[in-house]
Amino acid sequence: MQKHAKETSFESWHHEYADGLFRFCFSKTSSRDVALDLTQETFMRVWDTLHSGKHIENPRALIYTIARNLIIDHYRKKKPDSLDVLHDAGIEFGEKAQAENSTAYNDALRVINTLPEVYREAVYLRYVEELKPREIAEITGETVNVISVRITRGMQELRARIEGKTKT
Amino acid sequence: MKNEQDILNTLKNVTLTAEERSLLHTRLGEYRALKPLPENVTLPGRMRSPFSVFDFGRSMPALASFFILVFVGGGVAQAAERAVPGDLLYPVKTAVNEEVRVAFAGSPEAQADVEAWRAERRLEEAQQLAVKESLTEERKDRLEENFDAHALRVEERIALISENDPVLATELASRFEASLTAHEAILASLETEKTESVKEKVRSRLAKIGEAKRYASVSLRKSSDDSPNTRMFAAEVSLKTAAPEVEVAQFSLMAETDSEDDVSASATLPPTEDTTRYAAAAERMRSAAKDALEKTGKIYQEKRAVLSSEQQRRVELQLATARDRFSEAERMLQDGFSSEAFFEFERVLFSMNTLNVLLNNDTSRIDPPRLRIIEIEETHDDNDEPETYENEESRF
Repeated sequence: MQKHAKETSFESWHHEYADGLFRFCFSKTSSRDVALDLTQETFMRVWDTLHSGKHIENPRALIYTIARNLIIDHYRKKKPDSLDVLHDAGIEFGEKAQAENSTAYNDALRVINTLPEVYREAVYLRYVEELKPREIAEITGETVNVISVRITRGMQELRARIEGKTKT
Repeated sequence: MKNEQDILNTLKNVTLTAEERSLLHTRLGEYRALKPLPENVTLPGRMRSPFSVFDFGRSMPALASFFILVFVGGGVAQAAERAVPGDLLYPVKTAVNEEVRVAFAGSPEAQADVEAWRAERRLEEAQQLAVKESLTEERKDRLEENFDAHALRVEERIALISENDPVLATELASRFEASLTAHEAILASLETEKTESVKEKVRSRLAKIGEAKRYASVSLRKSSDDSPNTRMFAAEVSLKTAAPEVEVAQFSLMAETDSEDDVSASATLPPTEDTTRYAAAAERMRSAAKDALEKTGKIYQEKRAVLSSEQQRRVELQLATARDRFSEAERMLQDGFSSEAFFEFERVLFSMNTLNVLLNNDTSRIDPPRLRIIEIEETHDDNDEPETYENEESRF
């Protein structure tokens, strides 16, 4: 791939994935400003990868992997405790959602945030960002089977919670 | 908030505003201007040959000179086709000849074909070097790396095709799987430890391509069903990739049979959307299997003279078995067992593609091992389970 081809590829990735990536970052941070910064930083790193001459096999998986790591870094810098400690304490990303979006969005986010993190991430990436299980496995470093289990169980839990909420 | 699908759809509503998009575009533009890509970009992994003369720091001029050489030198490109790692013309083979084919492969199907072809060529090169006892560790590592990269791209293209045309995806996966199976047998027949790690790579890819094929089968189930439950089904079935028999059980439901006892009943059921779709899918697989049967028959006639009488007997037996299977699958299709017929046709396709690769192998170099390969194939065939519809499917 020559210089021009790489630039064209980068532009097409930006065009194709910017919205989804921003949405992913926003769902994790609940701040449009932070999500925009993270989106920008992600694409900068993708550019760096191209600059280094590395071949990018699956751009979408790479983009989400970088973004995921940046989000973790963002929380690490922001919070004194590790993410694991925060999770153990029941604190989830995006829980303190600011009313920057519609009520329906905040309601939806609130429901999905009740899922355990591993299920939430798998369900979100599969059905909102429409990534394939193989890509999610690549992003999270898990096997495809583990991801498939998480997707299925996550959806079962989500359904159970909605039904429970409806009954109450 | 009605159900989980509504919730997930609601989450999709967030997008960049025009202002945010513009800001992002401007900032990234500035960053790119500050850090432009180097002009003299070396060929990335998928194009760079490990044995390339380009490795000596003359990438672009060397590339240009090779192109000139090809255009001026007439038969150079053709001569390079026989090159193996270590030969002077090997870089022409990989970085010129093959890249030209890549450049002309527009559709995902063509791309999958080209990448499969390249992966197979790397295996053939490993075989040839092993026979010549010049498969050094370095060459082997590079060949494995390149094989892996091409095979990965085949899987990606198949995954892409699965979304829109699962039958074609199954066919492509089956073809590649057959080729890898044949090459694995050839490598095993070489009886040298040097190719052990190559075989491992092939096995690992075989597992992946098998998964891609199963995924395509699942996509076939959901191809005309875009209801919210469809995605759930896909997730549930993909979960079963580690236990193919469970998936096949699910898959066989498409013939509208609830249990093995009900197999005969399905023929009397009125056609449903599923059965109609499967009949169409089986018809397409039938066509592919028929082509493969005819092609293999022709190749056999061409190669017959160089085969020993024992080898001829074995190949003819395989061809006859495949023809019987094909006829059986046609009967299944006529009787309304579309999903079973689909799998049976696919099996014929697989066996014929495997035989194709074996027949096209260079007999002059590895003739004795080939005899063993054909023995392996025949034994494998003889050891198959009884030909009940259920057992045929359990392969998946």
